Amino acid sequence: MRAPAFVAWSLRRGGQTSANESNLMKQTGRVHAWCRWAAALGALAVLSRLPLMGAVPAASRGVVLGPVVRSGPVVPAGELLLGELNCVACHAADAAVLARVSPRQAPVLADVGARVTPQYLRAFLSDPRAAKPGTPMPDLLRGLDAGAKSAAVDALVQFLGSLTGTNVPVPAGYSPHLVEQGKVLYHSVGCVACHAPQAPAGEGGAEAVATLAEASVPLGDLARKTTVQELARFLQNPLQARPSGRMPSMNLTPGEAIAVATYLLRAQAESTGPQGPAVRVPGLQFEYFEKLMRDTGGIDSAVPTATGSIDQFSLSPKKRNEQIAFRFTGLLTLTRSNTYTFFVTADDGARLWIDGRLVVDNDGVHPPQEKSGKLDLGAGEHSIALSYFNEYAGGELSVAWQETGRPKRAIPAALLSHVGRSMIPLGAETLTLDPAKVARGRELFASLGCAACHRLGPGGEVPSSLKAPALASLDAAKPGGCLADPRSGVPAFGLSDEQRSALRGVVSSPASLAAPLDPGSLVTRRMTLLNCFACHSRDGIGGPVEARAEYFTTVDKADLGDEGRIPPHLNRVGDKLRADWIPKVLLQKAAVRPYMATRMPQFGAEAVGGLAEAIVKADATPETPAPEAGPTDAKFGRQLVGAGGLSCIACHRFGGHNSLGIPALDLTTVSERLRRDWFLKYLPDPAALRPGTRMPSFWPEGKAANREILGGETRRQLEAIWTFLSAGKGAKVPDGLIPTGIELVASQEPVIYRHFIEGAGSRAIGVGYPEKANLAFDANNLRLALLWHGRFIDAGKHRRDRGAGYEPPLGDDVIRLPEGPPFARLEGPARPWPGDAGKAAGYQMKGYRLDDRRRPIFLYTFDGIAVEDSFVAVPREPEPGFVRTLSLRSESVLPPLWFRAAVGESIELKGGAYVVDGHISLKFTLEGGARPQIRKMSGRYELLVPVSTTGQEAKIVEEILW
Amino acid sequence: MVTLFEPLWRGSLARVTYAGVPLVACLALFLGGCPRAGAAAGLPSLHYTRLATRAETEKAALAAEPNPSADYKGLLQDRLDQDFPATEEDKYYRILTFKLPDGVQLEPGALEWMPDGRLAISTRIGDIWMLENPLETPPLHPRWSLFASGLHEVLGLAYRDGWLYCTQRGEVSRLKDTRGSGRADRFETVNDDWGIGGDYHEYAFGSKFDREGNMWVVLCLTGSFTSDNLYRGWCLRITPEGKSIPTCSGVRSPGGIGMNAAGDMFFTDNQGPWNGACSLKHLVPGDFMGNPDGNKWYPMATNLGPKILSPKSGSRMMVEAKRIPQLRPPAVYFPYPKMGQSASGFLCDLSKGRFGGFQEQLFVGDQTHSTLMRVSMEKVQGRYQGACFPFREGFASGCLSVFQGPDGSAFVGGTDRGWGARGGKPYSLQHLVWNGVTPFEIHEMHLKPDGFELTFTEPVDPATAGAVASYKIETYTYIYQSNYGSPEVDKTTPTITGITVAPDGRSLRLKIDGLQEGHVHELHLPGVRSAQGQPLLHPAAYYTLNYFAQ
Repeated sequence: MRAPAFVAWSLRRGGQTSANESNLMKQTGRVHAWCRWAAALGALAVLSRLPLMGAVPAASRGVVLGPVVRSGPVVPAGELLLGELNCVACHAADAAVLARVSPRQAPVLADVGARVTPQYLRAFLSDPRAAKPGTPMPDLLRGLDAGAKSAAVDALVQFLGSLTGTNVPVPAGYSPHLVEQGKVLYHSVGCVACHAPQAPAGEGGAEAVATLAEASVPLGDLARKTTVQELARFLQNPLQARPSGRMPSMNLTPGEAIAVATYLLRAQAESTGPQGPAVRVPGLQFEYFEKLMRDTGGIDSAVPTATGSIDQFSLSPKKRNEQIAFRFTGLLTLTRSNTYTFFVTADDGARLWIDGRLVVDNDGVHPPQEKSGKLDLGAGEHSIALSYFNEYAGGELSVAWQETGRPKRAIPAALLSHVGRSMIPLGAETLTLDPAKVARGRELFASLGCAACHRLGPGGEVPSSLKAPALASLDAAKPGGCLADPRSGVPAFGLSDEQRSALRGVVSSPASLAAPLDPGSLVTRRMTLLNCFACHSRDGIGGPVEARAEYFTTVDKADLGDEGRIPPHLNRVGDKLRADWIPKVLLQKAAVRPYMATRMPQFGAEAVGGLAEAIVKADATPETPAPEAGPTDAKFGRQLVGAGGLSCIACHRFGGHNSLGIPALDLTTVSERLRRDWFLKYLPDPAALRPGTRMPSFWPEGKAANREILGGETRRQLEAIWTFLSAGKGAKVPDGLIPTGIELVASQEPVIYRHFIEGAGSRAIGVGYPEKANLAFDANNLRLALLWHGRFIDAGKHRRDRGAGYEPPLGDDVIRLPEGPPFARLEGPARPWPGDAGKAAGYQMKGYRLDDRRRPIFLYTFDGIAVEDSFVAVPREPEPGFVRTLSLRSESVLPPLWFRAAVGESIELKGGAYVVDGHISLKFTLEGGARPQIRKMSGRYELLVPVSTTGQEAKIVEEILW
Repeated sequence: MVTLFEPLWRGSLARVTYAGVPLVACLALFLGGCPRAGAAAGLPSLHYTRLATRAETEKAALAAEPNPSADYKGLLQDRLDQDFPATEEDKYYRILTFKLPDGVQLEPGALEWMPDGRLAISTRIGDIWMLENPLETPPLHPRWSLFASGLHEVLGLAYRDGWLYCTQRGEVSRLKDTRGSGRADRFETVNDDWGIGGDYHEYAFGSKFDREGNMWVVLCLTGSFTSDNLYRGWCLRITPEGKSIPTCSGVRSPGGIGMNAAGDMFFTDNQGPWNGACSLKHLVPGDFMGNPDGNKWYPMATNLGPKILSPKSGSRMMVEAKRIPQLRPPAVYFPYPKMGQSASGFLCDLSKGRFGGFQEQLFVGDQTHSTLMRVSMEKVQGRYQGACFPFREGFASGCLSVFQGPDGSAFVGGTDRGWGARGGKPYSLQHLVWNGVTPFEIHEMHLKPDGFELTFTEPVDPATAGAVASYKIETYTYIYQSNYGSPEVDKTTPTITGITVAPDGRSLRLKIDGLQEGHVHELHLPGVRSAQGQPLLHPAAYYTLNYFAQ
């Protein structure tokens, strides 16, 4: 019954006006933030006068009313209490009253014995509000002496446990990866619209977490209450146990439900500690590393950045693409003995072990390549382990197998497992059923009135034997029963004086309680009961309060502003949406905003019954009949939507095609969702109907910005767009959306392309030569990065939309040259080549100049040495190559230097040429009889070319064929 | 003959007065020193006498020329545009459109004047084009040549000592044609001291040279919310020696950078996290421009001292400005979406009157609305603040680069790639030419301790201008927050308590009760008339009041 300090403070503030608030705000940022808080949680100020249980959140009954206070209580408090406490379950009421208050159905207890541990049931029944502050569950045993109470609780627990038989909790496997996944889901899909966040949304969010804890629907002691499996099962279909819809389905997939459950119950693993019982956990254990490696051997000396479990060999836990590694370990359970072939496709390298035996060796730096290994395995368990790394660019891994006589396929996840830490409910208690206690529990369930609220499912219903006066016969002037001070034999709800008086008020005016609601009030009431207002605003009521708003995010950081993360307002939504679309949203998971992380929950038909119709009745204006569309309207509409018209597709997706920019709503959903009148009103002035929208008007003040299509007539343009979009998914994709390549071709002279080139970095300079040899120079690291033959590059990706992302070479025979600096002084022959390159190694790009055939000569400096790096494409059979000339000039005598020409798995001298990995041939013309040297470093070969040290200048000429 | 040059729009009567003049004569005279055009056009004689509408005139002109050439059509359209202005704005400032080279994706990212009278145009796909004789009006004979290509999204051009400096995504470079071939053959890296990744958002905008010869580069954040690479969200100065000086933090998403008449540097920043609306911001070395996402680079910017205090999300700009000394509030907000949705490049009118009566004011592009807005600023308590006004709409594509030619006319480059824009053209280069008549507009808006002073381009009618009912004023500000944008909040309605119109009618004083610190003051003047009885061409002004006048 404690009243948090905050509540007291809120109470004192009472109904201060927003003007006061705004004055306060100006004083200091600190006060300001506090005041915003107060405004956001203003509901508390009102509801704290009606606290249901003393604890404020309980008063709001899960309805985080937030901004509602600004326009007064939306639903009379007494009626709200009457419905949410389900008073009418015992105090019979007329159908008219039931229709008005929409009483809240208590949880169905059919499988509560499986869902909830005996220790939790025991604690909850002994003192509901202590176990779960704010619960609407009354204390039915108040006033009994300790012994009698304990016996009654025991009997009830026995009875509930008997409903689904024994319930030895099944331990779940603990995985930090799942906890992390669950944390993200819990804080993004919408759970925290009602429940308290458990982690700050951003910098400085700790204050918000603390405050929101007081204003949220409590979760109770979940770690004691249930298991991961049971919670996950509940989360996937909460309406089965809780048909009231107050806890809606968030449309979680089975995997997501497990992740959220693991997160919410993480205390079970944390307190079990490393000594906890080990259990078999589905999936593999993984370790994730962020480190530059050149083979999987690097993993042995690395420390994992993250660990966890995962259902398959997958790179999904990675936080970046490059310089990463994974190790997966686990058990493979085979049902039959056979010969198995394992296939590993990897970029870069990977190795697979079974029972400690290396089966597939696909190690080393390379583009995606598949390798395989075969072995005989018996039925039963086998240890399986896979190491993987990716150095730069690319990055992929897939594992498959083939049993003799069967097709090649992925290894079924069901066969993979590992041994991990377990999670079981805290305070484990086993229940041994005693038929006598069960029978006693059943009697109590009926006589105490439990049965009045709780259903037990088909076949198991117990009629309530508690007799209470009908609602209409209650005398508000003679307070007794539940509204009196709690005493034995009467349900104790822990009502405050204000709440009692609100209930008395409503009981004393039965006529108003039976009055039917008009459609608008019905909508508001349902939105209050289901807490739609936590996410949506309507007519100035609701919408996310500021501290919670931080948790509304976009998927993949879609650049859509608040429209991408805050659910839309519902002002006159029945006038906006088609009458047949609204039920699809409410009941069929129809959703058109894939960029929004928060999901539209499903409340179930029982909870939303009549809501769709009420929305239409409350909001919709009669539809203006559409004029008959002209035969060419769709054509002009398509022109307007496409590039060259209004280019709606610059932002809007269309029929599953990405837009040219941000992923705004798919236009092919327009006609199935929107009413024509609304659409025609919206387009000319989007901000009028959606304040703050980034959608610009193309008909400012009603005048068409496009003067060409349909003569610039606003009405005709709008109608044409509607006509075009009316074809829905069948509408022909507008011009400009399906990107076509823009191939750059060197014909008379080289073509230069400075952009993001895959494998050559963010400051790449690609050069295509008429000879059909191409290169890319990495101006971040001052190195030749790529060589390839044939077609140069497709500039489409960079020139069709905003220009993001790396474009790979378009041609063939792509050679990736080694990372690291081109030149180094080596203190001795065994010293490794330095890793630092670019500015970190003292290099500076100086640009390039074009020779008389407009071929670039790259210029850069390091250590006071100026380098000119020139390339001449030379025709050769079967493919062209380059003659590269590196000229060095120094202010003083050049120090002894090496140029690293190649790194490979093999380097051999054959007929005067150095052959790298069997397919790159390098020939050198060096001054003073110097000779390149081949050396082996960390398992790979390097070709080092000495730079002449005779004076201030030096030159290396290298012919490169591949 | 001079009268022929006088705009014909002054009324249908005027048009009839000139009606006897054959169109061919009009055109020949109109084209001035460009006889080839007239010859090519081979225009027949055409009389305006009986032609009252644009459509009639056009039809007659086309009928008279059975096989009209492109030149003829261009000439005709331009003449018709002038004689039959489509909008009120057309009467004062005409938009002329350059024909672009065929098949070239010419999205102008920056513009610069070359000493030989050519206009240099850099493009988003990395070309630099030269346009000969860009001042030709109408621009019937654009001659284009490609100066350079293969560069990375050039959004800054500045000429100095034989070199054309350009700001690419990854570096400031300078280009030169050493062989006299008309094409650059030297591409020198001047400075590349900032980081870039593969994100589209990491734009770099470069200024012209300041009075010390520095180029200022503003670097967009990595995405809307992060700074993943060195100095994303910063302004650097690049010295004549090619060194970089970290100059300002707090940049979000610039759309343009340039100087005012005093040579002080400004940039436009776009609505988004920590930016409630688009705005114009004054870059002062050491100052923080408002978005803290790039402040992690303070340890690298040793010249600016330790990392500054972070602003509190959900606060107000002036609340935080009092707490964080380095925070410089935006000089002028462009209320969203009333004025625009994507502020971009701008010019400062230094033409001494050849661009109409708004000397030394800024003309700021908006990419989404394809408009130019007008800005007049003043210093209050030593800091710039001021007002913006609508100026000109109707450009062919989203305005990005804005530049003033030596004759005072303006060049405007447009693009709608990646961000939709009004206009309907994917890209454009247009010429905005003053017709010689200044519209009746608010000239400037100045803050006074007790209200505002407005000056006008023409004398006002004392009766309407002196009536309180002629005005509507409200104020609001934005939430200063890490979330995207902001609604207008903390709205107030001040009271106009007195109006004093100056004896010459050129200015007036509004006495106002309830000026609000940190608020935009949105003023509408629907009732004010000029002494001639005309309404204002744009009867709205938006004054950003950060500091009170003392």
